[in-house]
Amino acid sequence: MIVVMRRDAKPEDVERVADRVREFGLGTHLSEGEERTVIGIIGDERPIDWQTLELMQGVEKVLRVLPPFKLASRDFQAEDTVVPLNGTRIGGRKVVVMAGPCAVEDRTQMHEVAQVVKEAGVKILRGGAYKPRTSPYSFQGLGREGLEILGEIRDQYGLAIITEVMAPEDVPLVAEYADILQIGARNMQNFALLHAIGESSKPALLKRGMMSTLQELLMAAEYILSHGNQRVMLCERGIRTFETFTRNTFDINAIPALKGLSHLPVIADPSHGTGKWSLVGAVSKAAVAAGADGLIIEVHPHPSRALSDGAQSLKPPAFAQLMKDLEAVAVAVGREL
Amino acid sequence: MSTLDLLGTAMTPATLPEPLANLEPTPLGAMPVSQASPNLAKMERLPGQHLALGGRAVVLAARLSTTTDPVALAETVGAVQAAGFKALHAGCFVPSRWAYHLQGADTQDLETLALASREHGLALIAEVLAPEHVLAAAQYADILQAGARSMQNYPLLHAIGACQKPVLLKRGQMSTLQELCSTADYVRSCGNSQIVLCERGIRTFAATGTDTFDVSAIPALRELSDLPIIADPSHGSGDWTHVGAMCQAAVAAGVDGLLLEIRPSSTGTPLDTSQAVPLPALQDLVARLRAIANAVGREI
Repeated sequence: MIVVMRRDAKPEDVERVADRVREFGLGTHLSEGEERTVIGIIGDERPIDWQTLELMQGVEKVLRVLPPFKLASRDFQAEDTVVPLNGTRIGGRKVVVMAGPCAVEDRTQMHEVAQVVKEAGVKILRGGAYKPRTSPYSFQGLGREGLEILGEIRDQYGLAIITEVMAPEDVPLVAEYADILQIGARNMQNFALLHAIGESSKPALLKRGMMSTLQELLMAAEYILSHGNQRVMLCERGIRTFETFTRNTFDINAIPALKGLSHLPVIADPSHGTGKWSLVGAVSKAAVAAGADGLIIEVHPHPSRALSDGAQSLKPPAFAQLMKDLEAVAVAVGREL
Repeated sequence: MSTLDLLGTAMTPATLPEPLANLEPTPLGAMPVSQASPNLAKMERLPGQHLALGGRAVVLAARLSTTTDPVALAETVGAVQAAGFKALHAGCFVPSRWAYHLQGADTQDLETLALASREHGLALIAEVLAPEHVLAAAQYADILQAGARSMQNYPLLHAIGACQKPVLLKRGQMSTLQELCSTADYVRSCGNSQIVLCERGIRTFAATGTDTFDVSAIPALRELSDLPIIADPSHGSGDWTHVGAMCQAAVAAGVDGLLLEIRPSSTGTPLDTSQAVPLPALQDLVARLRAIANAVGREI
């Protein structure tokens, strides 16, 4: 952190700021220029509230040098975090595809989907039992019954399960059935939930909020990491922009940017990123080409009858074809599917 | 989908097509270039030279940061051509957001770049800012570009539409895909159907560079339009390595061409250096792009 003093700051102003910094156990380096004094702060600046420093007399502005997140940063851990799961490794050389319907609707639907995705080579099945729907009148998910169906599918097909948890008190129950706990975009800054998942032993997939910057996403990841859960995956799923042709605008730059800022695996969600099944294939390939460690894709046997997200769900044949196309792209960038 | 030949148009001055001749054309103003330039004779493309856009090949175009050093220019153009690039983008008449930044060069520089493009068999794209630039630029360039900030500059579109040259239409930073397609219709209605659409990023709250590159625009425009689509991701990040990743993504998403900002090897690059790919990194990037193009059934 660098504190730039005002041109008219008095020596005692400078001294008061330096004293305040030393109260945090940090060192200072004074640089007295012809026009103004600059105070460099030596040590980990993150515990200091920079905004209060800026309120002190004689201070012009405070510049932060370190990113505000630590455990999630590439500086803290240079090598990629790898999450081993169900015979695959998320964040390794393989690009991991998670697929399934938006919501668990009934037993028949889940068996049908499980067969399809397993045949296509998928190891991780998605399906929501708790659904954070925009409208309270929309299908809200089957809840515990949905979890039980997912448990049955896991046992019968040997698929790992990723499913969303919405409330902190549900974490232990969902963790019984899920292999990955998903934090939805709307809950990215639900700090009580992040805390609870931080204390869970299950890997977590943290979705970027649709109005969140990359730094806010990494700060949210920091909550989970700092509560002890090191197996966190980041997920880009599109942000809100003025463009309405697509449901969201999939931020492709987030993939290389997050890979640069953080050691955590980066997963792409082209289904929510586009909201249109016809665009999912191209954006999936783009995400793999940009360096994503995995994809989470919505697949439904009968999209026109889906209780949620039918418009962005791929039918089984289109999904099987996409898996083949993705393999070629993965190989082209030195990965495999 | 329509395929364009970027080199197949004759270097004749623009004329209004017959059906539109009785409309009131936008006055083009005076040409800022001397018609007597002895180099104009060298601008004619050799018969049989073609460059298809919208076919199987993904066409790479290099935008050079403006340089007035002829040695650096020759070296850079040679290097991008060797790396597999097929077109150059002239930063002449380039608009800058900052009134005090370099505002691009003049027709002298356009002529220099045009000669370099002929020497290396590369197509030349030139941005035009004002209707009165159109005739001047058309004498040197193979493709005329209306930039993002000009996407709804209708007098300019009218002038470009009246010109028998392929046109590159960039999506405005605050424009929807429908609006971009409407602009294409505008140019078409002026009699010019040789149109290329370009996604270059939109304004969002989250941009790490100037803009957020909208990769889904590529398949979306494919659904909305029959026109070839190119991508220009250089403004989508402040970091050229991320620009490389976005180029890879764009090729995987099915783009017909890429416009990539290149940093010449020598110094003297006043524009956008942090997002420009340095020459030494170019071969590796093109090799990756080629592998991805092959993986999606295309070639470079």
